Amino acid sequence: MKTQASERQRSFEKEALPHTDLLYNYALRMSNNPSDADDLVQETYLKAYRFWDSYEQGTNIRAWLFRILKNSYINRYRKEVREPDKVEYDDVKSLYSTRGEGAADQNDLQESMFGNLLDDEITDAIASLPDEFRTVVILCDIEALTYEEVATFMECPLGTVRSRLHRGRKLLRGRLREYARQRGLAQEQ
Amino acid sequence: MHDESPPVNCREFSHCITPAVDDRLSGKDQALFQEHARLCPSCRHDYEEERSLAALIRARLHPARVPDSVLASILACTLESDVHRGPSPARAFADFLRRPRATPVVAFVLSFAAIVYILSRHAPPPDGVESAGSLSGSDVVRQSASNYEAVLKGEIVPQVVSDRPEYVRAYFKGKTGFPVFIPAMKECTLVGGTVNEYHGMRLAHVVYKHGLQFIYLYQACRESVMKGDTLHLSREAKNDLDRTGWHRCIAPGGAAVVLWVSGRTLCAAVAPMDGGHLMAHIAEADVPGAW
Repeated sequence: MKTQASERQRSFEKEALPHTDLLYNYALRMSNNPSDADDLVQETYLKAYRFWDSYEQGTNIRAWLFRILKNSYINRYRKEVREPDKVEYDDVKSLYSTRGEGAADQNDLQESMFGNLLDDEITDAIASLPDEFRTVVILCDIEALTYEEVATFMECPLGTVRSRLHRGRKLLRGRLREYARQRGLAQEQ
Repeated sequence: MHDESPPVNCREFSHCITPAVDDRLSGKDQALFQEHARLCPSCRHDYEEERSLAALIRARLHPARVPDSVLASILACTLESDVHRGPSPARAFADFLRRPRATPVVAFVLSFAAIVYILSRHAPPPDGVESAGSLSGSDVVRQSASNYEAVLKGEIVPQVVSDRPEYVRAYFKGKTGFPVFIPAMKECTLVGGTVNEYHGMRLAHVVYKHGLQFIYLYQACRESVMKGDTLHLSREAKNDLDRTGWHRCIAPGGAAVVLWVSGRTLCAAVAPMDGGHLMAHIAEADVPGAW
């Protein structure tokens, strides 16, 4: 019995603990609250340790942990999840009214405009995204995971990851532009 | 192409923007994509927008590291589980010895220590440290040197056995009333640690191995030692610590003892090596996050 406990802890240490940063970063970006992120990660690992015997060795440990974290997050924010933000693609498209021949010069202007934004403003803009878009932006652009990994984590097709990332980035850019306008870094259009 | 169809019109180009930004198009499709972008300012604009945004996020937001306190909490919970149903210290030592990185010679040395421990189990652990301390009096230098001998004899047995500082740190959390120093020391492997009391005063003991030798760290509440409540230091040691932050001497058994203070903790390192070498090990330790 004692040997089993020791082996169990050792395999948990070896397999699960290397992914604490990944899970913490995701929890932090999703909750936008360090204290909540602490709780979510601890809860995830406690559950993972409790159910470690049900983890099939050699399968995707990150995906397994991620699913536990995601369920914990959903349970914690169940009220919000019941009424998720709805975003129509037309709304996203309407954020981009300025297109055309002068686009290249405008990009330079936008680079400068966004470059003056604070990291906190970028963080807040990401936090304001609906969950489905926020998740892929966090995992792809901050965690640098592959589309395949994200698809496994989210249990969705590869094409869904790509389209959510595309739309998430568009939404994000629109929100950053709003921040820039509020701070006078960009003019009203 | 990795997973996308070649863009031939604006709609298909739009579907390829994200994989293009993330460098997921094959050389041939990337060329087709770029050709379309060159000819279509509107599509080029969309591409540039997404590319610059992705670059902005990657440049400005970096993955956060899990706080040590969270990691310690996780580890403490798993350790507690292991303590409740896990191996005894002797068993943990035996497990440690089975690890492949323990060389046969080191394994022999540790086995010897474990066997001595098993044979001496009638001695009250970990209060055996207190006995050792009592025999050597309340002088920190003498007590730490005496405890080092107890480590070699297997009389001081780590209650947590791990080469991972975060595990050992988690064990000490909340047990001492002062921060316990667990540096990543160059060319040394952490063995484990334990806590005990000496006349009501909490003491931390951390053990490393360096080749065939052990390095022992004895830690106590600085304020209490400086006041001389229970433990005390010689006037010379106090003067050195006040003046330079360090004190070095040779223990009666010939081991080097190095004392230093950091924050609320008084540390004493003991090892059978030249005092200068021992100081170098400590000074070159990877200190950030060691508490």
